Amino acid sequence: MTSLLFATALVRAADVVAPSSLLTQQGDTGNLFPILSPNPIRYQQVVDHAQFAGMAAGGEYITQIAFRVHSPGIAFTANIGSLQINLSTTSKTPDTLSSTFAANVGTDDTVVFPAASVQFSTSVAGPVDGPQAFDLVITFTTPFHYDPSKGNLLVDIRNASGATHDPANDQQIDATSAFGDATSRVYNLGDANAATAGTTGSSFQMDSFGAVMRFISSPNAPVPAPPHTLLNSATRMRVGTGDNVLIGGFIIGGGSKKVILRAIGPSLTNAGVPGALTDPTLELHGPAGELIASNDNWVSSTQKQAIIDSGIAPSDDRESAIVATLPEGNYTAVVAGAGGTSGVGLVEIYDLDQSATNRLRNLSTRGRVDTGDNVMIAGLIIGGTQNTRVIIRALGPSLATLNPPVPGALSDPFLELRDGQGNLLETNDDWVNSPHKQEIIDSTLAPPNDKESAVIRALPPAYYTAIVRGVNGTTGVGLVELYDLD
Amino acid sequence: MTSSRIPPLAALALLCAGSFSLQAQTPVLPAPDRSGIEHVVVVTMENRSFDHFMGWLAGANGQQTGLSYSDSAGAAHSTYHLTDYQGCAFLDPGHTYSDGRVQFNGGAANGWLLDGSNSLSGTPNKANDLFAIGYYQQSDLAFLGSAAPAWTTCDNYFAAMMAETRPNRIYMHAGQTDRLDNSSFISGLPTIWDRLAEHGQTGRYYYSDVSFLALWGTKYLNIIHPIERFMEDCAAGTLPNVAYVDPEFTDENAGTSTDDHPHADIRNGEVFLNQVYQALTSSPNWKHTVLIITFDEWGGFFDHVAPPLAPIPAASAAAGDTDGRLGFRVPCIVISPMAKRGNINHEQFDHTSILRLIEWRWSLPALSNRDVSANNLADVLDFVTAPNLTVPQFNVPAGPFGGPCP
Repeated sequence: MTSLLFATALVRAADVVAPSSLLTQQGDTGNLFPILSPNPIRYQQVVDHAQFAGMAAGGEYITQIAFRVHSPGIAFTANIGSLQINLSTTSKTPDTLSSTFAANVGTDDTVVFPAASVQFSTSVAGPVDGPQAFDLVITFTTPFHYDPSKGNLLVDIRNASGATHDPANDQQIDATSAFGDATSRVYNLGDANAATAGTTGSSFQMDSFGAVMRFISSPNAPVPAPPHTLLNSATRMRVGTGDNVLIGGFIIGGGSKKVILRAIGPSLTNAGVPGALTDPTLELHGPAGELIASNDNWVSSTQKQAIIDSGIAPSDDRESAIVATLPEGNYTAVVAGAGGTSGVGLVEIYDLDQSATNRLRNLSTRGRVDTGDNVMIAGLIIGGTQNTRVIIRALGPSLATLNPPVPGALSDPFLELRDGQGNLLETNDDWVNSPHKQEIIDSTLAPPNDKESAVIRALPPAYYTAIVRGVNGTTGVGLVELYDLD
Repeated sequence: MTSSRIPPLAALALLCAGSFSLQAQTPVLPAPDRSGIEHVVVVTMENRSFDHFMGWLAGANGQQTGLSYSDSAGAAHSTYHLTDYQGCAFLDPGHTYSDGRVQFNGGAANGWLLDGSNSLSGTPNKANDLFAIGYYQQSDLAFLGSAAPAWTTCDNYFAAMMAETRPNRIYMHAGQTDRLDNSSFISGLPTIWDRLAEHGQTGRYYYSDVSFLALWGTKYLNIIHPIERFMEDCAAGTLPNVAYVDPEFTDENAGTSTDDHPHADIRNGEVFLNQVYQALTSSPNWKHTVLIITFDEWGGFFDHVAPPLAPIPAASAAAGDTDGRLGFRVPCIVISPMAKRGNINHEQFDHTSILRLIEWRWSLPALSNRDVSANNLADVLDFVTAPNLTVPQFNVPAGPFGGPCP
């Protein structure tokens, strides 16, 4: 899964691969630049305007850029500590970029992705001779209006930290080295804030090479996201049968909201997760428990085009997805294995409509918490432009007091909150012992049982992971909940 | 972009070098991005000259029988077939900077038994013995004896300089050398690994027992991997753009090293080469790979072609290279889906021609005045005919062979 901020207000998207000659075949070489460079780098790549001939007259809003891995290879994860992307319209043409970066930048220079950490995971599941899927995706926080009739597109990347790979096999992104094609680059390896190109020997670091890029654009102006946004929740755990299926809950407040739900299984195998669910099914239930929609295999869904248009269709045909516009209320997503099968699965809820005051207020997942790889792992994405105050709860014993009681409830949950790089931000065993106990009480969302866990804090826009396990390796049914307090 | 051709000075030297008539060859290279090359793998063995190891190859400019060389006393000795694989009864032939010039003998290339300062024998002032004029035949080489006729063999490929191991191997990495002998000080020369990294390309050095890149201290630790990783990368299809693969260096006296340096049993080197060949030709990367097998220098073994001159890079001049003389010819086999089968190529190359190929393919700046002017080894490849993915298999006994010399 590519864990990045999700696109705003998606409509049917234009889709450009540059150079266009590489739409169905991979480039002639791999290259580490710009996003997989192990060292910091300032990198500019110009793309000829003719590549965007499919855009609407007057231009479109580019909302997303994506890269693909050069085949062959193996699945890997890459982390970049700080990546910033600017776009502008440049008068420079391929193979004529200046060694002075500022001379290439257009007057409409826009920070489309402010400096932030980024994590990529790619399965490299495509043909051995490529091309691979464009699954190294960066969705812009500020879409860029680009009119090809005004000039060429300049992609200006500041990779301030360099990337780390796991495994460290130096796999490269797909690239072209051709002279005279639709793209070329200039860069400074070692200094993300450089004003001029670096040098190798007596030559400037500039050549006819370029990464093969995919641009997603929309003819309509995206509606800005509100300053505080809980955009996405994803929970991974072992999906069993009966009471041990994976159940995700969420609350919509302030009016109707468009969401996409996904049930992921087989593609987890490509990400190195053992024992993944081979064929997940997905059900969406309403506030009264009524079945609103169901799906097994998203490619067979009557919503297939809507799922594609969301930009986050599952990567495996056997996985499931539902797009729905839902009124205010409480909802439940149930993931099970087709035919009663079991395995590790992932339920995800994405906010497709960040345009107004309607909000995803709460995201929760219930399921069996085991040990090792089968603990409960919940991911969340904070969007917007400001910190969002959240409370994350891990419940167990109180589930046994519900009517009817949940059998086999986790007796003593333990909660960890980590950032997108896996760094531990905070842990809690019993919420009553938290240094933020009073804040938790004041939120009115204190867990019902003293043995349960809670973390309350303001989180800047980024990706986070909450891990729930049983104290001393105990197991049982648990519930992880995320509440937006702003 | 086009490759450079034989520079005038080198061409003149080549014409003066011997009686062999250079065939006219006018290779036309495609644009690098249309070459189909994504991986270059270089395996460098030790200390064998072309005539000594490959002189039997039909169609090549090799000579084994019928040659006679005089010793210091004026007695003539004929070249002969070596009948053991280690040469334990002999001295390691001299092959230092000064040894080479005695053997060069003013261009006669006949001083193989005149060397009066076999600096590697441990017995100064003792001439090379008859090991230096012995040769191996095709049937002695289970791998190269089959691979050389099957693929493209270059019969006009020289060591980068008339000196011993380290200067030549440093040339292979840096396009020049900062020493004329096997001294061990840390090198500060920029290398092809720097060039690759500075352009986003990947490179790895795979060692079998000792890392040659240790001569650069810790600078390249992140690209140094054991030979087992090479096998894994081949299997996974994760080879870097450029890989140098070295054999075992350190058990020569035990006879079991795989580098072919005396007194290793050369059958172990054949096993090593076949292992690399098998791993690479079965790799998902094979379709876009060029494998180059060569030797670092001639090792003091006879070769009838006098090496020409080449430009002297600044570092080499500072180290004391006064004439720019290339080392005697060494074997060079090019194996690739883009390689012609059963082909002998007569164009002049040396170790810096490999650098030239790498730099051409990925638009990298040259490292010195040598690689910028060297002929591009890509010239031997066939970019017109569709890549031939078939791979002949060779019967190479597994070994290990040999043992300590008495």
